[in-house]
Amino acid sequence: MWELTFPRTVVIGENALEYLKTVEGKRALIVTDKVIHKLDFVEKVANYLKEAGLEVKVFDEVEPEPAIETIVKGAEFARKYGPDWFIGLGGGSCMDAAKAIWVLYERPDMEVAAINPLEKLGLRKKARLICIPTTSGTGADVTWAIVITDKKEHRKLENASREIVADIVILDPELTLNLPPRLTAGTGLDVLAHAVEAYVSQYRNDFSDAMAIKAIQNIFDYLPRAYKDGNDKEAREKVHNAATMAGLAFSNSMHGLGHSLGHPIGALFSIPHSEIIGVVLPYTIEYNAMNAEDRYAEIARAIGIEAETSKEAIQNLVKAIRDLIRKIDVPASVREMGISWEEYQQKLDDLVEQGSSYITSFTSPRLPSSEEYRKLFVYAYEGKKVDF
Amino acid sequence: MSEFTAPRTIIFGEGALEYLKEVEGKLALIVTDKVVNKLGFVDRVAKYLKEAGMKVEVFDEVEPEPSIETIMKGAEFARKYGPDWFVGLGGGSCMDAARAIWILYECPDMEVAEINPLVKLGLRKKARLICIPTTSGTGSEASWGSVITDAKEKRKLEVGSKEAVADIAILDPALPKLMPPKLVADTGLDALTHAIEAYVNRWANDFSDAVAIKAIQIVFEYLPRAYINREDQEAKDKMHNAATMATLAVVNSAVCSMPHAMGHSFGALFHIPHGRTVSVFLPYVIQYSAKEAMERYAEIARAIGIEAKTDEEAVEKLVEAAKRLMEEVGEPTAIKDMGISWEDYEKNLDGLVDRVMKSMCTITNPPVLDMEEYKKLFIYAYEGKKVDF
Repeated sequence: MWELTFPRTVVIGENALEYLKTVEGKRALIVTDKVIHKLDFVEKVANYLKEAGLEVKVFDEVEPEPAIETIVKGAEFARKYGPDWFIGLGGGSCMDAAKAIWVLYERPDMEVAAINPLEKLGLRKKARLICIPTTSGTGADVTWAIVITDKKEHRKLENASREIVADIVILDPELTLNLPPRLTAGTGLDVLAHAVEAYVSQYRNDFSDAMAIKAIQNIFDYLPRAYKDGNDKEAREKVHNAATMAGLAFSNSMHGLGHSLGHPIGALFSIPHSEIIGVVLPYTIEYNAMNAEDRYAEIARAIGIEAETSKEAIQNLVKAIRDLIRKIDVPASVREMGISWEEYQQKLDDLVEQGSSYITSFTSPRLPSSEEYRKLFVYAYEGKKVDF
Repeated sequence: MSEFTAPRTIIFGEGALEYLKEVEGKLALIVTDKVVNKLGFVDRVAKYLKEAGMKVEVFDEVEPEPSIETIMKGAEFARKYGPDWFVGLGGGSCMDAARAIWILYECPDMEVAEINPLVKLGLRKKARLICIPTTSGTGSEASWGSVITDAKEKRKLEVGSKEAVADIAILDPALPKLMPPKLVADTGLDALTHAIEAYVNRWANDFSDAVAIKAIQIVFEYLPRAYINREDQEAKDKMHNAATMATLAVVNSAVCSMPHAMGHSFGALFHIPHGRTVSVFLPYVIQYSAKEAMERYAEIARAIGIEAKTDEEAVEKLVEAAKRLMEEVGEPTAIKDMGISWEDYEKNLDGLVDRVMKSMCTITNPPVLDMEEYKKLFIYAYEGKKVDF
């Protein structure tokens, strides 16, 4: 039995934000951060909601990788105000914070760490959730996970529940026009990684396949354009949609190897997720290929690669990804990111340990041993073709 | 701006029906027909719902192409029991009826004919909707519309609202196992037609594209298997998913378009069931519409593995592939092969064209045809001739 959880309504395309004028309710709480608040997005969203007859308040204290304290504070803010709509407006952090604040608002008896898929939350007694992403990458608008930082314990909490998937997702490409090129490139490759990993995941299904392939096609066709010209509205729209489609695909099939290589490097060298994930992607494909040849070959064909055999298709797919990465000026190896071999070597044991403890990669087609993890980290550093 | 509406929860794959054990509520009303009830499906669904702690009532008076009277009767039945869940169980008629009954139950002041996408219904104050298809093909579980017959006025009403998309769709491949091959072929080709229409029409978007292409790929790959071998569970499973995806694509991009308009018109005048009447027009509509949407049809062709040097060649091969698929599952590829004489057909030509012209179905299809062109298209579809205009 498979369960697909979908926001009931996804609004897409130019002027999608105007959909807010039709929302019915009394009080909306916009959960966002100070950067977004400085742009005119919050005002725009608030104006549409007011047109719909809603009162609007803003909680703009979300920080990157939001802490439990922020969530608790947001929930208190919400309880005083009594919204019947939460609006998560921003990147993954803002949307995750909105989800978590909403849960604590509905369930004052609960703690963030207690949220899990087996716990019945009974949401929507007081309010519902609208997610409006302003970056094209995380897929947090459609996933059922929340990542919150527990500063006391120095750990990230990954909590999940299907109930927290938004009621309405609004994908307005206008909101992404100002993303800087480097962030566009990195988050775009994150989307590609999500979609590729979902497509080869052992938890894949017909619905995740459909979303994954379209997301991959959009990224190949439009990411270089969005990178080159941030004001290319068509390209922005396609990449924005791809992020959500990839989110729908992997939300139902878990992360893969790219994330268990990327996260440790990111954590140990303080590199943002979006900068590292694209770098390691080709190596994971080369490594996984032997156990998922047909699937990778299908991806290759879907982006127009012609090949006689599956092997050739996969080779060409990796080449196509490397070309894409080069086109958008992302380093092709960890070395090119300016990390010295000495430092990297010193942390290799930690990288391997963190990588192999990364639980969500269990759905990946091929699971590396510790020894193989070590080799993968080294190859990704050196930019060497995976041959084992 | 476009809007993609889907059931929040879609349960699929082997054992999907067991999800019902987790549903929370007090009283479920199963809306179905006598055939489905006899097959034992109602008992199974009721058993799971009872395990979930619910009381269960059954309204099994839905007839094919349900009438307004049936909907009203069902709504009265519902008001007597006060369900907080409606369960549409069966083919398209049962699910369509469940949706309409639910709307009247929530909005007692309304009449069936008044339900339309522009009216705010305010559903879910009293109950929610689960749809469980027992055949693969109609897609009613993913749709927001219901087809209801107005017997007095001798017309079919297409009523609905985005609010009326089910909350939960359950696609259990064990249910359509009993479908006879003919029905497998009819409904499978109906899904194919839906998906292709969705992909080429003006209001297509990335999300509808994604599910449309997957549905098309599945139909080409698995329909012959599902048709030939009733026991081929994988193929049945895939076809069940494809039907829902095709509908998600079409309801989120098109009103419905040329093959459907032509098929409805033809079916009504010659009393032939829906699935077959629609797909028989597909090859001709592709050939005609390719003038305007060549690239999109070529993308479909490439997605099912057709290799071609030019878009023209790809589309030509797509038409061949569609016809080959239809033949493989025992369906006619021209109207002359359906046992209809030319005399009879010719007599009805004006009526066929007239009905299509009056249909709202065709506004989202790429080219807009005039009467003369429709007439020609009907003639070519009869003769099985390649469209050359």
